[in-house]
Amino acid sequence: MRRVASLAFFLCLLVAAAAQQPAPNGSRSLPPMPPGEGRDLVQTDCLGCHNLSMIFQNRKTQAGWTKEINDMIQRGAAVFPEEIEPITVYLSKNFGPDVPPAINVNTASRAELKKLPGVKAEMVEGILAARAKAGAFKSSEELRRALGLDKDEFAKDFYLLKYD
Amino acid sequence: MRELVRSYLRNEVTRRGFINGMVQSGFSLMAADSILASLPRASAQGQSSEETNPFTRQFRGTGGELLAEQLRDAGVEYVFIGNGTGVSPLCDALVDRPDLKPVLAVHEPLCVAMADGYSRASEKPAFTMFSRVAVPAASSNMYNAMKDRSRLVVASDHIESLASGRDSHEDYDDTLEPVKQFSKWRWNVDSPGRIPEWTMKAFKLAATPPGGPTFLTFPRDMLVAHDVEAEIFRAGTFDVPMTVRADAAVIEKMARAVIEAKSLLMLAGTDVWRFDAVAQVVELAELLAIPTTSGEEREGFRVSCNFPTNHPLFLGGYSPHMRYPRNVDLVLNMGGKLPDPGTGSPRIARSVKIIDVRIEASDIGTDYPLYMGVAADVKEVAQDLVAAIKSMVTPERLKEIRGNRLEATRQFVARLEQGRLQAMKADWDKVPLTWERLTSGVNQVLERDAYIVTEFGTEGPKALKCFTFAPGEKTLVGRTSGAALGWGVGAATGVKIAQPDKQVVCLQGDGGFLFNGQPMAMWTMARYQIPVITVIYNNRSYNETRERAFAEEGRQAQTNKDMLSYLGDPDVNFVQMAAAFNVPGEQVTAPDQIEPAMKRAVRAIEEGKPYLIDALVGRTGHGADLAWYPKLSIAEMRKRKV
Repeated sequence: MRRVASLAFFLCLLVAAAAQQPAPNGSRSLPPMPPGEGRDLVQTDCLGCHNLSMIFQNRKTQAGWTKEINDMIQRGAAVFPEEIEPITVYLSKNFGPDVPPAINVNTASRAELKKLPGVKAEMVEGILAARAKAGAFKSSEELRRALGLDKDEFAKDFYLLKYD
Repeated sequence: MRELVRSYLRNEVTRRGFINGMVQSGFSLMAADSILASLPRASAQGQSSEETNPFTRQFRGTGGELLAEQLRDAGVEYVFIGNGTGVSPLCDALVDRPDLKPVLAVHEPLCVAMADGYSRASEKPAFTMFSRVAVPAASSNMYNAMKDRSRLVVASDHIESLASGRDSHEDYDDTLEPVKQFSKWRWNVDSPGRIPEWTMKAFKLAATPPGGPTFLTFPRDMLVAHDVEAEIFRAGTFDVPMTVRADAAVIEKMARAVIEAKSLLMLAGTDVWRFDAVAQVVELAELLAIPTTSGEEREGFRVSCNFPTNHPLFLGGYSPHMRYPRNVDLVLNMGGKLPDPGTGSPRIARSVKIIDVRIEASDIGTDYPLYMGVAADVKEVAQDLVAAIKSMVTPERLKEIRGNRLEATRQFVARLEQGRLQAMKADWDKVPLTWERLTSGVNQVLERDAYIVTEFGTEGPKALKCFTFAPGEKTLVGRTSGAALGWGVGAATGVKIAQPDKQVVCLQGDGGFLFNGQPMAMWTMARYQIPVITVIYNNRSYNETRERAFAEEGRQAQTNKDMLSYLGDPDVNFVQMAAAFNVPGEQVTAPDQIEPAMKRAVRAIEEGKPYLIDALVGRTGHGADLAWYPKLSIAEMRKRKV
């Protein structure tokens, strides 16, 4: 079973983790967060302390995410009370227990890619063709351009890909 | 003549005074000298002063006595000592000097931690001495002290000069090398007559800002040397107050930048505490309604509290992505290290003007490009800056600059605090206890101006946010920025010695408690009736370490095997541990037990007894539920049951 890192721990590393934030989602190798109500709050509130890779690594119910957010607030996260609900709804929808773990786009098989929620068969073939041509994708932006998708459309269906 | 001899023996006249008196009574100089030589030396009673010199006084005695005399003039009241034969010449001198009180610790890292805590709470330099073979063990807390620039003079004995360098009993080649990085200055005393001089120098360098531990080694023949005459440097002759002011032109440039800034943020660092400059920095913040954080200390307050945590302009810790204030164009850093730039993009954007004010000039401008670097005393700078700003703009303009910043900051902080309280209540009745529930209960019982000494890991902010740290409120003596574990309880012991009339409570994680022989600090507490409440936050884990390790997603995380951090089995019973030192205590496992236990603890310290509470708190984060560790039984491996 793939292990996931603790959000609480990363929040503890307010300083070091936040220092490594060149991209809006907190990491060069991470895809953009999927669109939806609550995304902006996640990116605003959570990035104050840590990068977003630990969100991509976690899978929790809304209650689980609420517990995590409460813990972070205790540690000093700048989250207003009325923001907890939209944040946790967003996180549980996109990073809930039933959402599969992220896979490496550069090594994933056709079958693995087909299991990604929302990704159509022709897109999988598009990825495989682009990968064969490019060798390896260094970033989500490379793949997005190769597939010719707009940013939100890409973020919606391809946020569970890693680019290691 | 009889009266003169009596006066001499009572140390009421000096040697010179005695001879002059004898000559005036009709004795020849030679006869007076001969009689003087037949009398017991005044040094045996511990004094031979030249009262005419306001800067030094003569003293004749053993090396240990010379050291003790110079400690007196350095203002030392407590000598934190660890056992060792080489320390005994100093102890011999203490026998007749009850004003120098020995405090024995039974493990040398505790000597350093106690001296450190004492120094922080008394705002005076502290002295500790122990055996040479304990220097390596003590060095972890010397490292902590160096990180925080604590004002300590640390000393050890060493093998006799004529025997050193032969790898003989308890000898090692370079007595100074082990502490080279952890001391501001170090010296091997090789002349007994210069013991006071080097001791004086050690105190001067340790106490002069930026301070830091200094280190002396005394080969045994230095301290046991007899009949050594030397000058003792009188109190006040080696103080170097660092009231360093910035040039008027520099202040004017700073004032102009602050006035013209569109979005200003102030960082209040540990120099504010060191220079007793809280009032001045608060006045500066209020003058322009400057939102303020504690810059380098990620919880907003860690080593010390440099800005009142209940002030409406206080935001807590610094973040490179602060929600408020936005679009910061000027960071005014008052007295702390600037936020660690990290490994990625810098934590303060390169486009932001930075004014860095610190006494430690060597650090200024090393990590960030600066608009201005100012090597000065933050207290003086804050005062001068306030005066300059007032002279440069009208009250109406000041009001305009302040705008609604105070109210906006107040509202921002209030909304966050509302969220914090709401989040805290979510697990209010949980068992095992949450850190914040336990700390809230502790806070309910403590006096308003208690001293809080902490040694926490990454859970610390949750606890510390339950207190108000401010003048007239609680005082924080927080975990060192060095963060080497094994400091807290020893430090709390020293804090209580420095502040006997204040409640002192040590909040200590269980992992850290087991480092550096910290439980044995309770031996010192018990022996000297040092009434400190120690609360162990016991999650039977090095929680932080496990989280770090598992975040790497390596084999431990993949296999759910905690090779390093689980501390259960045996589940340490800290109450029994305290009992071994005759320190009463109790275990707390549920929320409704916290306040009754704390009330019993307060009654105990009122009676002069230390008290320990072993509170079971929950683990958090990845792998929190794991109780797995690599099993090993030597007993089962045996071929013979011996």
